[in-house]
Amino acid sequence: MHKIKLISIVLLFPITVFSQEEMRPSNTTKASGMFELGVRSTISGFGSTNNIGTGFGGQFRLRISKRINTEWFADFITEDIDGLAKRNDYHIGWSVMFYPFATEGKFVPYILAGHCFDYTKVSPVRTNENIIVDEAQSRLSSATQLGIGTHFNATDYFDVSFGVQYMVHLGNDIHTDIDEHNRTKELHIEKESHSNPVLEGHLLFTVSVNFKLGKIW
Amino acid sequence: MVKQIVIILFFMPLFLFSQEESRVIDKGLVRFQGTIGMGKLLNLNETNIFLTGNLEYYIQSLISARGDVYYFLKNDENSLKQNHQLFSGASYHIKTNNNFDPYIGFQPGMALTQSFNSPRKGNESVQQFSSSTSYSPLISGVVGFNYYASKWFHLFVDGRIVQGRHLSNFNAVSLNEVRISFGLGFNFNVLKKKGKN
Repeated sequence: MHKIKLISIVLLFPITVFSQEEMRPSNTTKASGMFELGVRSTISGFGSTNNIGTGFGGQFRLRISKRINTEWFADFITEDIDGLAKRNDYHIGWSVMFYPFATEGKFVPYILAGHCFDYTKVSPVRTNENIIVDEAQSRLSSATQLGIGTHFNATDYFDVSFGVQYMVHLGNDIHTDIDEHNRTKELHIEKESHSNPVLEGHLLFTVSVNFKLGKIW
Repeated sequence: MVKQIVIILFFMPLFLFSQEESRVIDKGLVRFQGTIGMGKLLNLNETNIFLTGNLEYYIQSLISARGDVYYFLKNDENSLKQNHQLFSGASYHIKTNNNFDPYIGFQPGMALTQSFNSPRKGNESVQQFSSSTSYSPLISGVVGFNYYASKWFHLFVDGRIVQGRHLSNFNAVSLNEVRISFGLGFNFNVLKKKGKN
């Protein structure tokens, strides 16, 4: 049932665009109130495991004023931890985007800052190697992010955005250690207790495509 | 007989040039298709076969929103038992003065994947275990062209490169793949009024 719903949503995604046909933006009107919808890919790097994660997500944007936009996003990121464990991250959050330079034109650079809530789960992988593993661990945490990027406005109705942001999580730490004794690897997945919240950060590179669907006000 | 069929198939596009005058590619064009797709996994010497379809809407003659679905046809000789994929994104269509429509695009996606402990080679009898199913994020680029033969039909060739990794309770499997599909698609314009075209 979930599969059918997911397939329907993806296939009908283009339809959402032409339902707004009469609301299309015009260069002659002010920028505030613009609603955008898009999808994105995210690469996560420089985290605690030193591995690279790949993510899929989506976002909508609501522009507050000529120089301020807001972005509301959700991401699902997976990461292979040295072939011995996998890490899944679910992010949901928002960012405010400031346009310090140009506010229209082909390239519109921005600075962003925002908040995020996330769920992380690290699970062991059964391999052919001789290995001893711990049980899976998970946590909920909150995060804050800061970054820069630019929109590339291919047309008045469509942009591709490139961004990089540093996201720092505040919550229980989950970390993995790999030891090797007598040709037997040991994978430790450890979660710190509630009394010791720690900071854990990673760098996110994001490419998104966005459709300007219309003005809400 | 086979020769005749091949000749007819090769010359069939020529019959369509009579339609050149009216350009089909325009804002409001909807196109959809269903066909068979073939893929080659880049990190494994394995070929994947899919049933695939997509739906695309041109918000302008140069930009379209597009969704694609790939249904994986199981093959015991592959490392993957399931590899169904969904993509959603946009394409940029290079401007031409006729109904030839080359494009490039970017589509993030998700895969529903499940792997075997080891692929079966030839007729050998190997006990196969399946991993847990998992969702794998994908990054994907597309390149190809459509040729709009009429207001209702087009032929297309679509190439895709996919980057991703299946992570489950078994060993990770790379989903990096080059894929191609081609065939006949259907199209109509939802914004053009009757008789205007």
